[in-house]
Amino acid sequence: MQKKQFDLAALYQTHKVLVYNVALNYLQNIEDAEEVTQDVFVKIHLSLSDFKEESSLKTWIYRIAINQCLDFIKKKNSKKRFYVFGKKSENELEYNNSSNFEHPGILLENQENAKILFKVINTLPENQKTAFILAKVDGLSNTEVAEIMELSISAIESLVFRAKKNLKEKLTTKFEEYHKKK
Amino acid sequence: MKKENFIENILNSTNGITKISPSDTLLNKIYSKIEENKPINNSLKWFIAASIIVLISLNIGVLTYSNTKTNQQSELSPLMTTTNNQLY
Repeated sequence: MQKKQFDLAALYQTHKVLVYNVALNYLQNIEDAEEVTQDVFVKIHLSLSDFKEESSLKTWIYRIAINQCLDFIKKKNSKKRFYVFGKKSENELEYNNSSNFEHPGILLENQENAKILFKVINTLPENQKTAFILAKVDGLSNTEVAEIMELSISAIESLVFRAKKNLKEKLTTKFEEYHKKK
Repeated sequence: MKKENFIENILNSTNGITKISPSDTLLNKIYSKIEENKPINNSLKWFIAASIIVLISLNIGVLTYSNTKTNQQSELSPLMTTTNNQLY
């Protein structure tokens, strides 16, 4: 079979913002997001010849980026467990709960609220987190999210609904804690 | 009411988010990572395999040659022990 010819530089220029922002929203750390962006493009370079064109290139790149982020979080969690010898975290995404990430793309007046939002997003189950980030932070339509996550549109609607419900519950607790302290 | 506002403000805090571009050096880092992960080409693999085979056969050759030499020497040695120049 003939290998598909492609220009990595052109592909990078077209999709770098997409990949970097997915990683940034997922990992909430600039260095980690850059590392994952590198890994995503290396993976694209190595496996573009296997791309079957069953989905669009953009969807395929989204999937690689999300999987790479999940792998990165798992690796980081296992490293942390190895060093700390602590009890296993209930949620794989708990590692960056303690971070005070200031997203460079968020309006200055929303920074404090966004910090709280990202902290709470990290406590969501993996599928809900992905659906919420893609639909509400990245601004994709439910159809696009469904294609990326290989689920039906109704499943995505339900995931986003449950994610919002969970977020509201957690934010209610945060609100009550905050007012008790006051 | 206060609680609802607090929650809504937080949930809507990502409204108007702008997309960020990664640093300009990232593409070069990707190229060097690709170079690091490059698989060794086939001719180099065959060259290494052939060198190992040549080395092993040379070793075997030297060992068998030295074995036959020591055998010949041990066949001669009884003769050497019996034939001495001592006169009784």
